[in-house]
Amino acid sequence: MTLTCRRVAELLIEYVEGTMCPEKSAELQRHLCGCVPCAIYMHTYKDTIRVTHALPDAPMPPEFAARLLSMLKSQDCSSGE
Amino acid sequence: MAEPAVAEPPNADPLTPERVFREHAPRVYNLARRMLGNDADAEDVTQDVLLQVVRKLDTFRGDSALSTWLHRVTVNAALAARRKRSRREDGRVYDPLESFTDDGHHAGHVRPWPRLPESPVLDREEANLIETAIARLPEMYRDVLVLADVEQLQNPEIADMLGLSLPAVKSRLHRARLMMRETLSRHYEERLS
Repeated sequence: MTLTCRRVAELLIEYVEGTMCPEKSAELQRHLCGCVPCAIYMHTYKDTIRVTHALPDAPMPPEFAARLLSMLKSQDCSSGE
Repeated sequence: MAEPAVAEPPNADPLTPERVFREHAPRVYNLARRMLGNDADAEDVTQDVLLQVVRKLDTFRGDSALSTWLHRVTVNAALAARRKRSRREDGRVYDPLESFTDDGHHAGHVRPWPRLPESPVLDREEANLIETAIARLPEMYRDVLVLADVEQLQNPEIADMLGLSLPAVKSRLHRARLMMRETLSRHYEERLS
């Protein structure tokens, strides 16, 4: 194995985003096949991206939402005058 | 900054303040809240940004590009609010790549997480955990992670918005993901054990 585990961790963004050259990608894949900790590290890196993407929007505080909507409506009336 | 001028389909509802509020306020609010880590500042930014839109409603010929424009305006407003707050982060930023030995091996045991579905639906505890982990990231990493992994913007677009080079965006995004991974590992490893 020519890549160290640390180097694999450094390169993960290129690997998961598919921006790595084929030779480097094959070298990294060989490392992942032979190194269980790095394979787990890569999976949990990808899981991190997936759960972050799944984050739902929090609702706005109701008082703020009501105040904002009222303010927006009043602005629209005033700009149309 | 020029507003988008993209025509909507002829049968689309007109852009009204109610529609702007309904379709865009939650997204603007959440983006600002995640960048600023503070509800009160997020409310100020949301109000400023949406007022800008409503005051210029007649200049928008459609809202196809409004979402993109709103991202940019919200990011600028959040960065300005942060400068105004002028709270400086101090202390050394932890580098997750320090969890490797000098000869490049994992310093500790790397444990798996439970198997997650392809499109996970987060429960309240998980959502809170991820929100807290994002809020604890140093600002320079948090901004990029929120725009890339929550808002799903492309790296070149983020570079343009934040005035960073593309390599800088990728480097910060990678560091942010590694920090998030470490925080989430404590939760998911526990769930497995």
